Amino acid sequence: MARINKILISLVLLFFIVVSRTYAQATLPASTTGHVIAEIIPVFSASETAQLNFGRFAPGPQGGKLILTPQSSISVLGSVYKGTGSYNAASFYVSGDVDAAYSISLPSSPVILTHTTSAKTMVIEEWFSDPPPGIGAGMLQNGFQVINVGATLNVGTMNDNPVGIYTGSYTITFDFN
Amino acid sequence: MIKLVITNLKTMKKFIAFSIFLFAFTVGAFSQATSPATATIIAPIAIANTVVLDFGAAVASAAIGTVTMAPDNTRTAGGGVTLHPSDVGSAAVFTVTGPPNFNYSITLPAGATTITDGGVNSMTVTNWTSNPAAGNNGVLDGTGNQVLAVGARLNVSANQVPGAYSSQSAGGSGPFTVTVNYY
Repeated sequence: MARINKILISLVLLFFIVVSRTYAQATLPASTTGHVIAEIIPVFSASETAQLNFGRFAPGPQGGKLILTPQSSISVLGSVYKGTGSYNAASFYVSGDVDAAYSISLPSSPVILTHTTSAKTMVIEEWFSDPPPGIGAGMLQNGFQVINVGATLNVGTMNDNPVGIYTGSYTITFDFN
Repeated sequence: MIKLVITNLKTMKKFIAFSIFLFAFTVGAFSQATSPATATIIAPIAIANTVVLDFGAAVASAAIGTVTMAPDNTRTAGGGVTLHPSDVGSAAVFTVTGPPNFNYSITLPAGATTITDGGVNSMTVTNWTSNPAAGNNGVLDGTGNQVLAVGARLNVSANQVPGAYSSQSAGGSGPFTVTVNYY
């Protein structure tokens, strides 16, 4: 009987050891770690890298139009004679976050150019851009984008538009939101 | 044992009886002992990170500000910071596994984690939150799983220098720690 008791005690001990080991395992905490990332992006910016320039031309007797495309090709309608020299569409460099989308707004009303030495004026209208205007039209695929802008210049008669330099300004809006 | 059978039948009978008793007891004992030791019950609790805590993109200004990422991925800005839609970020996601229907506690970092741009610029991350909330609020489902989402607050300095910041970058504090335990 003593032997049985011994075995019994051993078995009971074994039982308790198993049970206590079980609880010891169950109460072990588990930890893990995670990383944190954030990005501070530059303030959205846009700058003009090339001015809109219709180049040299001469008004004819009835007036006409100069159409300058965003791709910097120019065509003449009416009695306007295109001279030699350079002309180009306007260029804007827009920078910001990679893949940021934004909208482009062109002047909605005609822009007036004024003769530097007289009050004579010319009107620019029918603005075009590449990429075209609209909400979400622009995309900063690599954090920047070049936007080219063209327009149509209405040229009056020789009396309306005497020889000289005409200047004016216009606003293009790049909306980041 | 064979020797016992030949020399003393009485003793052998006793021994057989004892053997049967011992065998029965042994079976019973092991039956009891193995019951609490099944895989289901002793499975230790485990936690794994599957999604990093990402505050997304934001624009700093001359005023200090914050970006708060809630566990439900809601992002809010405070102070001089403007959120940028190009990267909306995400809360951290952890998966907790263990026995089905077990309760467990959640411990979030008490202090700040520092993230850097790899250079001299840094930001701190504080005010940790989670869903389920920290404390004795974790409950594993019927399959022994629960998703634990963790958010926090990013503290942005005035004129914070633009760049990509990470806790892994040089000068960063390293990752933050989340601990779970049965209670």
